[in-house]
Amino acid sequence: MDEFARKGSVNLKQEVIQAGWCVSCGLCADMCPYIKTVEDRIAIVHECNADEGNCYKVCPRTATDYSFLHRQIRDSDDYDYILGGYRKIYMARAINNSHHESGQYGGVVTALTAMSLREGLVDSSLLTANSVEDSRPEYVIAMDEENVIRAAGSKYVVYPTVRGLYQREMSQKDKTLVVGRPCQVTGLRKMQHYTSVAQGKKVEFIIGLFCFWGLEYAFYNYLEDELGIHSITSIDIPKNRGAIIKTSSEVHEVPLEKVRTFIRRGCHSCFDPTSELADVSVGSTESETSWCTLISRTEKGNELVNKAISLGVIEVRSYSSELEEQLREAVRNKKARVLLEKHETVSVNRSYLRINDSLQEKLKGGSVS
Amino acid sequence: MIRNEPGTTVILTGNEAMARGAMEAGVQFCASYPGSPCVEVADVLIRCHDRGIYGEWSTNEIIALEAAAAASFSGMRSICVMKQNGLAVAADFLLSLNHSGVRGGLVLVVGDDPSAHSSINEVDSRHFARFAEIPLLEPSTVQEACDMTRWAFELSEKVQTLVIIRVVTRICHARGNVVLGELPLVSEKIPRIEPWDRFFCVSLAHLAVHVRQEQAREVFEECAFNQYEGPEDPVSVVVTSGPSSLYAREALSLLGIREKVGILKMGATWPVPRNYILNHLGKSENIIFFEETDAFLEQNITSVMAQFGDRKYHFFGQASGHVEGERGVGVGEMSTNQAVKALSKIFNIDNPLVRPNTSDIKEILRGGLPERELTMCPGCPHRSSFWAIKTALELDGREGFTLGDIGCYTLGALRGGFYLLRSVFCMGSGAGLANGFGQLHRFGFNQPVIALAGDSTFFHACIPALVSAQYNNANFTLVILDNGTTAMTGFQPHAGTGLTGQGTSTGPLIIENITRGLGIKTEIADPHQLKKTVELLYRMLKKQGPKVVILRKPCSLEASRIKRRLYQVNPVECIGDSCGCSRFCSRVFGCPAIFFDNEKGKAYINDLLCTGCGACSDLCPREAIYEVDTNQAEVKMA
Repeated sequence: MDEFARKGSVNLKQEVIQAGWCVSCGLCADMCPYIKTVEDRIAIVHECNADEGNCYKVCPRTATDYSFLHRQIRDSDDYDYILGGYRKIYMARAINNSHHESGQYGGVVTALTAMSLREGLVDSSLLTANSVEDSRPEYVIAMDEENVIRAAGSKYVVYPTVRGLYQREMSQKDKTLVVGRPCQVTGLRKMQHYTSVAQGKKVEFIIGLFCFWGLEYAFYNYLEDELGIHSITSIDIPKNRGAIIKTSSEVHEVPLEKVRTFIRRGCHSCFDPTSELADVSVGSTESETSWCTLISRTEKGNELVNKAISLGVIEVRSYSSELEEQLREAVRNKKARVLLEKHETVSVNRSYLRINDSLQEKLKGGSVS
Repeated sequence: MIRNEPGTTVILTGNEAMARGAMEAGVQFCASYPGSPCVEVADVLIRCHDRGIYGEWSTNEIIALEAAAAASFSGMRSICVMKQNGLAVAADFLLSLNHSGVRGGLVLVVGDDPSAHSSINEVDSRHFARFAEIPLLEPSTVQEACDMTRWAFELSEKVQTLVIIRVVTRICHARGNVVLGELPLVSEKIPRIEPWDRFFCVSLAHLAVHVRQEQAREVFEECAFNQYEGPEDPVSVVVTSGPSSLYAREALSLLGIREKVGILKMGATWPVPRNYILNHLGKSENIIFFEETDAFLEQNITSVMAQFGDRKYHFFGQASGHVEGERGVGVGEMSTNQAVKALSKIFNIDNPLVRPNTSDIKEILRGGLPERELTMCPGCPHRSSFWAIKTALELDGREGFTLGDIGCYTLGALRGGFYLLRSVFCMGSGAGLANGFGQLHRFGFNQPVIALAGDSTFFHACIPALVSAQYNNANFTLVILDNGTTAMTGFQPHAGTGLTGQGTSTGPLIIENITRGLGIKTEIADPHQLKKTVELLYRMLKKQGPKVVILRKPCSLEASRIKRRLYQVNPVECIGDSCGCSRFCSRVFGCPAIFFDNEKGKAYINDLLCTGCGACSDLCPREAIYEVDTNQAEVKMA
């Protein structure tokens, strides 16, 4: 895209990081020696002197045209302005108990990843796990089922997992599967289609997660420093509840209104809660906790799902029109909020979106409750 | 230099000459904190324990002076050595010790550093002698450095107060012939405090301070270190001290007026021997002053002439604007050139032969000499520490900043430390300033503050600052750059090394035990492990109250002596300017062992300079920098 001409780290710093829109996807982090990360923070440590840079091109908060990227990954032009392009949408869950129990909402991500490694579709997978030390998110480069299971379960605090692509362990691998948040999926697609960065070519499958927002790392500081909750073993945010924080001996609940104050600012500007550019998207369903929503989007994704069904790795049911309507409503509202730049407390940025007028009008028509 | 062969001529540095002079005076006690330019005076004496000398590296200068005074009170000859900034640290004791006076000869050697070659400033410490009303000697040659030191002990005992010998870098580091004197037998007298000995600073003793000063003046009236050379009854006289007297002599010769103009070379400069001065200057008309750095002689002597002279004199010096140092009036070193310039102005000599100053060499050899920046050594752990601090502060994102301190890491103010330092003052000032910044949050200040200290600096001046910080709950992080030695002054041991100056083992004082003992949260990391160090710093910056992070790695000069590792650039993996790293290793990280080969378009590491720290290997995005198996390399060489 012409918009990337003569734009580099200086622009990334000004337009995204300092402006507060960074979502900590990790696409730029560790890509070069100038961009470093700790926890959920990304910083451009030193000016690199290059006036055009891949860091700027891959960022999901620089110019992004979802319908264009959609055309790059799918043969057809059937862009659904709410859910993105897709082939099929299912209710799904893992059949293997260990996947099911360790994962949340059906264990489908765990099952698909483990199968891809087992069947040799990929050599490695890049996942987000909770660290053994302090139960905080970290990237995991998993080559076997044991490590895939270690990464199972939802993470609510953002982490720049994709930086794992640039690490030494990854450099020897040819094909990899990445499980990521929608921003990470978008960044990966931008890398594949706007740059010649080698890591982009290694990414064989992308499993995208549903994500309506992520929390800042400061949430942990709040739990520890203000609530005195240490040695956290898990965090979950079930439907209509606050955040359930478990330690080895206690269970705490933080009210949702409080949790929401830790939502990362950049997440309010997210136009893609369902990972539209993934091969396969997975998310919770509104009704049943042991089943999830599974969307196959690309040809590759479709094959992956079919293989998983035929090998008995996952089981699927048809997605009811009622559920689909609920999902569409939620996604449409999220998108409309971004387009209208309307949020009660936080500023919203849509300047990065390249979206045509008719789509805009359709979406703005949605309810913005 | 420790041979007892009186009359033999040997070549010594000025510092060695002073140590020799002290030995010839039978000195038995030496205490010092290392500081350039005079560090070797103590370095030599401390190693001479087989000559019956006890010498120590004290933790700071005031303790050194107090320790040396104790030996003097017990009847021993003792010496204390420090640089000009150290004298300011010791000043509180100095300005009270002058009241009690001393018993055994006590000599205080102060190394001044005009042009501040290895100092933060060029303070002229002669003012302290006038301030404390104690005798001041200024050697102008290496021989005089030896002779004056020997004599200073006699003088100290005669007038019962301590004597300051003020030397400058050009005497300390110069080498010259020294005719040795006799080394006395090692004293067997047992030091002792007598039942009625009392040593007090009380205001009643103020009169005694004046009396001792007056006694010293009387001695100085006859002092052989003050010398006049030149015509009898000269019209013009140059009054000078220290190496400036050599510049004056040379300049007068170059201008062909040596026979016409007298030189009054002053060695004993405070208290001013006014009769001697009046004898030599009373009948002259033009009085010219050459000295470094301040107008000390100029002010004292013009004052004498105004009060006691019997005619109108023309004074030429800093006040008249005729005499300037290499960097301006009263700034920077003197030189023969500066003397030529001044004299030709005063005597209206046209087109004098002015040779280039050392500071002009760069201009003259432009293109012939590569630019060399002031930076840390190859493999220096400070470079990694600075990169880690810079990274952590950027990640933190609240515009945190770093307060510098005194040591090799003062270079962090420059490119080698990524211009990170926002302040540099005296020893311990980083932690001290941080105490203030650490309280500003109540006014809305939210920038994280990092104060730096070396390990030796920590022991020297940071502990009271930490006590204060813990007591008042100041918000800051003290980063102790612990390279296990006092590197900048030449690897003197300190409390944390567990070795005394004399080489005995005392068990190291563990920095973290001290800081944790104060109740301060303390973490330790290896600065060359950049990732871990960055994470640690980042997390510590988030915490409230005082914190300590110890970045511990031996000085690369020390480390490379022990075990040599080596890194190289793989020319296949390094793809030069197509990488996108913009020559990070050579251009930004800036280790002097890493170069960029413009012809090949790749980075390379000079194997003679590389110390094998491996920091660059972690930073290279293509992992093109790898460790060489040096065992194999050695086999190949054999």
